[in-house]
Amino acid sequence: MTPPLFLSRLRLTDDQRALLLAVLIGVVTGLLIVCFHVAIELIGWYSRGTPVGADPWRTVLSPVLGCTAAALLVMHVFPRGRGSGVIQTKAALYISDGYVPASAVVGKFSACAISLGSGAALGPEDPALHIGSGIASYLGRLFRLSRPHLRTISPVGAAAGIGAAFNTPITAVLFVVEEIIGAWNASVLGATVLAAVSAVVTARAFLGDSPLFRIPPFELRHPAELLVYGATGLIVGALSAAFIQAIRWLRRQNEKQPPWMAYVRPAGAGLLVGVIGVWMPQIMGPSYDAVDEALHGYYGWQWMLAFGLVKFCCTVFCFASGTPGGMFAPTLFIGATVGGGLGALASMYSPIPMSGVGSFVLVGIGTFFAGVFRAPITSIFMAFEVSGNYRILLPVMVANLAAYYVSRKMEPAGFFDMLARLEGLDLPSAEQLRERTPLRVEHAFEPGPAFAFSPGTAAEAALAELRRCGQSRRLAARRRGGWSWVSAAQLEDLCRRGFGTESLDNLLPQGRLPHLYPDMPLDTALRLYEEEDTLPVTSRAHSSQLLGVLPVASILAAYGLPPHLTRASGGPS
Amino acid sequence: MLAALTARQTQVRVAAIFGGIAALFAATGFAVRWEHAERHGRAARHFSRANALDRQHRLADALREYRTAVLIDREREEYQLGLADALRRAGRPAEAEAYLRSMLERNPAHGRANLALARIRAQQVLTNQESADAADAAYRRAIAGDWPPPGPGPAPRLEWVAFLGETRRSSLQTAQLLILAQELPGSEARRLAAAAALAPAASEERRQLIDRLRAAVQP
Repeated sequence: MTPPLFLSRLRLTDDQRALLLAVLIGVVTGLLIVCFHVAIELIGWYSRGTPVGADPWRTVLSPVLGCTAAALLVMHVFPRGRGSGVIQTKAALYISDGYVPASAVVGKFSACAISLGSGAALGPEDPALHIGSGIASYLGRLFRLSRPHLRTISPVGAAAGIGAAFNTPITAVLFVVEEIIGAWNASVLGATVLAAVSAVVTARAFLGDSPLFRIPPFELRHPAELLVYGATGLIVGALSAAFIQAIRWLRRQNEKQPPWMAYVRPAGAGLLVGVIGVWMPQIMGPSYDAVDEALHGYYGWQWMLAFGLVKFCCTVFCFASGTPGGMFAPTLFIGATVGGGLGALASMYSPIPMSGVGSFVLVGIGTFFAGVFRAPITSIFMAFEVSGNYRILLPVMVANLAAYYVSRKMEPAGFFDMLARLEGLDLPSAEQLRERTPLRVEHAFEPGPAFAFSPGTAAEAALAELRRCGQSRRLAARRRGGWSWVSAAQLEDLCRRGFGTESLDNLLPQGRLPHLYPDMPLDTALRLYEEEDTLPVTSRAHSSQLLGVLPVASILAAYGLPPHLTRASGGPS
Repeated sequence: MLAALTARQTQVRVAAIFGGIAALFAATGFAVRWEHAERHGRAARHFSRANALDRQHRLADALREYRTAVLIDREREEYQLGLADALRRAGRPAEAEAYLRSMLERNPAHGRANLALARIRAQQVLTNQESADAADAAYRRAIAGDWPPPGPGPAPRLEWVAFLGETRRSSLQTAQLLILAQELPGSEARRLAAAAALAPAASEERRQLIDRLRAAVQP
């Protein structure tokens, strides 16, 4: 595949072209996300009117019609725009070599703008992520990126999409690394950062740089307050596990229903949201304004808990019904309102001085997110990035990790893993990828200090020692560092030729064996076996200190494979 | 020939991509202007409706309209100040303060927000017998704060003077009246302020002079 002419003239490497393209992806995604945001706002104003809830008929009918229209669009016009953006991006990364069809971008944009604008209790970030991923894939194909780069370009676009939608570049990069890629990959990270930053800068150029939420000042007034934050995290964590289970249960129930119900469910979910919206307009759409109001203490604890639980139900119904939309904004809203409600309740009965309700709302923003998406690092940095206050980190860490562990304990599968399984995709779980502990040399090597001759050992003495121990060979340390194998046959030959009194270091050839360290992963170690079937294991602090040896057979045994495979496969013998 | 054609096609394709991006920029700009115009128009309509309802003493309806205006256009401070003032008058000072706090976080020297906060504090002092320090501090910040041109005039200090009278702190009130006498423009207002400062502390005469002074400096 040839790159475009002007890029050929620039003589850029594939990596450099990918980085250049990342900026372009960021700019285009940023522009589209601005249009997406504008479309949601305008559809919302024209369909639901202002103030929301003032006209009950419009408030009820708007989500009914919007959810139905959006579901019909993805069912019949843009079927590639269906499903979660995160799952689609992971599928592009692991299954389809980075291919995300352009029709998915158009479908996601139009369907989600209609559903979110009309009031569905879902959010715009996941669709934005999908739009970014589709743009990246399209531009990657257009610019004829090589196959490996094309595979990894869709997460780059995903970061741009989420960064522009949420106005948080750090969170976007961390989320993509933590949830989609599953590991720190240096080659993707540079492009991801560039795309996220350029998308955010582009979006800010049009929408201004005012943050998503106006954050009240935060102050931890008493160390014991952390216990309340921890307890809030535990409760929100349990709620997040229930959220995942409720969606799975409803989706499974849906599968048992006749096909025509697929047209009725979105209308039913819209009706539920609309009817509740007459009294609680705060739960309609992405609900960012309500989170902002909660942050500034506009609601009492009863209202906040009611908002959180009602949004929980509406989001579960909307999402399970097949209405297009994302889960980020609802998780932020549920976490913020439930966290704020619990915090306000605790403040009333607490014997210690407590920080304001806004602080609990702010901390709560990330807790439900951490429990549902199982992305604890992203959730912590999201609170930090949104608040711009590093003092918030301590309670956020306590609450988010509590939520994360409780949620994991109650429900082993994270939201996206559950969703992938429901959609019949066997995608690698980012959580499992992160936590997979590779087998290391220390798990397989044979320890023992008496494996080596010193460099000054005479050939005769070495031969005598081998005969005494009944060994055929042993490692010999080299004076300038490193190790070599010396066998009894070699030593006999040397002694026969009159070199018996010479030191081994002078007699052995210069070539040295590669050596291993105990913390080295076994798959890395395996690549070092070329001629020898056993390699020395040394200390990282003193490479002359032999800790043991590692035969290939022991590696295979550690992987649970029979030792004869080494010979059968033609590996080192 | 074929290679040349491919190169030309590639150039056309690249030109089309950049042309497309330029068109997307233009379309985004148009969409954002449309959204801004709609946002400002809707918010302004709700705000003027709120003001009209407020004048008709339909405070609950006015509050809903003020809140809608603020939700639609969060950047306009005028709407937030209107909502905060309506909330204070509706007996919901905590909510009113929340709006003012968010404005003061951005600009702690915001004159109008500080004056609105001072009114809330003053109301709390007069109803709950709380310490007047917070109200005094807010009045001081309001007087010395940032105001849009042509500035606040004597109104904030005069309001503080009245509050000092209501909380019976005569020496501080006298000091403020003397400052006011120096700052006031017209000779009549200046004379009234000086007379009030010289009148016996916490007397009926001083109170009447201050009332006349307030009427005289009313725009």
